[in-house]
Amino acid sequence: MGRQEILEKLSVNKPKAEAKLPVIPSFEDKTVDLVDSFHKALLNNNATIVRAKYEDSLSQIIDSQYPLLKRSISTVPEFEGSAAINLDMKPNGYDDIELVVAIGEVAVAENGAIWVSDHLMPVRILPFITQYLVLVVDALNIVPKMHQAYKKIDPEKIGFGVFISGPSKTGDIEQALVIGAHGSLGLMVIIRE
Amino acid sequence: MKSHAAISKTFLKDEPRVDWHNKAVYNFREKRDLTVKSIPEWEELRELASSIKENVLANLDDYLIQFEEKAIANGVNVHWASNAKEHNEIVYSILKRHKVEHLVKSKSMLTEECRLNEYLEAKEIEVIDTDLGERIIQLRNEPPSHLIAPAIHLKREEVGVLFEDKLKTEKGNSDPTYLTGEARKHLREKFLNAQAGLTGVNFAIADTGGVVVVTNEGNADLGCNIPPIQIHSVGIEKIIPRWEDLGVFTRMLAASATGQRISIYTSHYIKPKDDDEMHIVLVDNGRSEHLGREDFRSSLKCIRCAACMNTCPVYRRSGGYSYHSTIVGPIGAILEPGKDLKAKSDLPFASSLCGSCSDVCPVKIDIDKQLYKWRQIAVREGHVSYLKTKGMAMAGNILSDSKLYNKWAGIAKYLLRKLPRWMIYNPLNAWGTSRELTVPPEQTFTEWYKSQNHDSKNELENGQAGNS
Repeated sequence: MGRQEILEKLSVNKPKAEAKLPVIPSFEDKTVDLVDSFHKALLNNNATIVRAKYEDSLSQIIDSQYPLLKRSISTVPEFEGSAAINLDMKPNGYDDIELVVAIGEVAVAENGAIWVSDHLMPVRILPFITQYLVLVVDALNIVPKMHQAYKKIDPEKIGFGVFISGPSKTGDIEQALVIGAHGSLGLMVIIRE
Repeated sequence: MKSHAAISKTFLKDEPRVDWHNKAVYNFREKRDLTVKSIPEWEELRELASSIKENVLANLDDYLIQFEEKAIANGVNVHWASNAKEHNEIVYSILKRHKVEHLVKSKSMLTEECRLNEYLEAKEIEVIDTDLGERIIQLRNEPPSHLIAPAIHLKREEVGVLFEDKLKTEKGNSDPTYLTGEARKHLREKFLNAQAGLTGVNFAIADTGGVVVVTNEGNADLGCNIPPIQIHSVGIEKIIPRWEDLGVFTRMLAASATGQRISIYTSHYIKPKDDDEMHIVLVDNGRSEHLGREDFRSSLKCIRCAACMNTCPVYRRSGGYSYHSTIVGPIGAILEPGKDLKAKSDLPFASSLCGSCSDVCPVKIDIDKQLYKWRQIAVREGHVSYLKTKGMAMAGNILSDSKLYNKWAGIAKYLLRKLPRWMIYNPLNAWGTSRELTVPPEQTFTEWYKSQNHDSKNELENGQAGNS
């Protein structure tokens, strides 16, 4: 339909002066403690944070935070969920899942954003449909800002990826902050260092 | 169609509500300021964002071709729509092919612009807006009054009453947490039963062929990842060249909008899930024409953060509906006249030209300059009232001639002091309708200056007319 027409109009109407693409600096500040900064940013986004040692038991941490949640799915090897991922199930079949535990592949110190993608999370709906979400982040994967995060991620290798920076929220009624809109009602981030 | 001034007049009748609205909207601006001041490279980021967008405008056709090629390689169906009608028909044809009766939609100003909901509803497809604010106004049968907070004009009690009626919530309960919880249940049901999901798009990346959708609620992701068909409607100006450009824009969008460092969900949809279908509809609807308007094309750099309306003294005190347009506030006032100058020629005048909008704009659009330029076009093309045109021309003559100015300053001073009240405050004097005019001093500045024994003639006439 409109393709040719649109492209022709754009070619005629676009500005003719050259406008170069800028080089984007890294904006790194070496004096910032990445883990501390990440921790603070997440607090600001209403997430729960646990700083753990590599050898600490994930199950213990998660069970003590969410003792009542029964139906869980995990993509983290050290935590066994109550249910397994079933690739034949339709996404709405996961509606009764109370807890999803997943790996945060890259994390951003400046704003608390954590990258979750279908590289390690085969069912896209899980981090959104679950009532509560736990993301496990290796402190070594925390980068200063979004610029470094995008550099670390290869878009050719994924079909879907999302930065999650807290539990879902809304302020659509008189700007009153309400945690728990459509996505998860709570987010716990376990930082392993 | 009523003008901005006429609609504002109704809005302004309820003074406490105007004050409340003003503060509610300015709250966004204050939160923005706090965050922006904590980012040392903010001005550098603005410069980068602006130059990336300038580059996009200069190469938009090439980037669209690149985007299409990559998206097709990713297994995505790409569609092109010249206008709103074509967009709606394309969306409908996808839905019809799959016998979709229930569509969930996340926030998209583009589908507002195309009036997609009305179109699909006429074809008996249920369209559910899933952003909480959007759902509220959809249930009230209203358009959005703000770009990112569509129900900012409503009080919690009004939402409570609405939900009582539509969602059968408890009588008299208008607690936002309770109401949001009820909306979550109501909409979760809709997500689970949806046969297709549609979203707007914040960024479409040319070198990957993917789209980025940003929300705090997670509604776009439930809408895309449950049903087997996902559709993304994209205005063609939403293209950015490179994956790495997202580093700049994701740091600026939420900061400018709500003062968040980043939104809760920044989702990158690149390939369809499993064997499902992913469609991207690229929509022109006047954008390519706007690109040809040299003075105004930079408004296509807009990332819809709403910072310009949050800071605007006119928007805050007149409300989104006074703009009688899809895109409201200062950015709407420079985009909408390009679509229909006759119907929207009042909008460039809905501004004090203070320039605050341009100062907060993350992509450096010279909004106030464009407002001024649209005013000139509106006058030249005869869309401004006779009284205003003549009045302005007269004022122009007087203000540019110091002798004439001094003479009239003297007359005005005399009249304002001597005339009876009813002769000053009457319908012919718009300046007196909602404010008390200042009582002029006994002497004009020039008279005072002369009385101080200066050689006023030469000094003053070489300078500007000055303040009397």
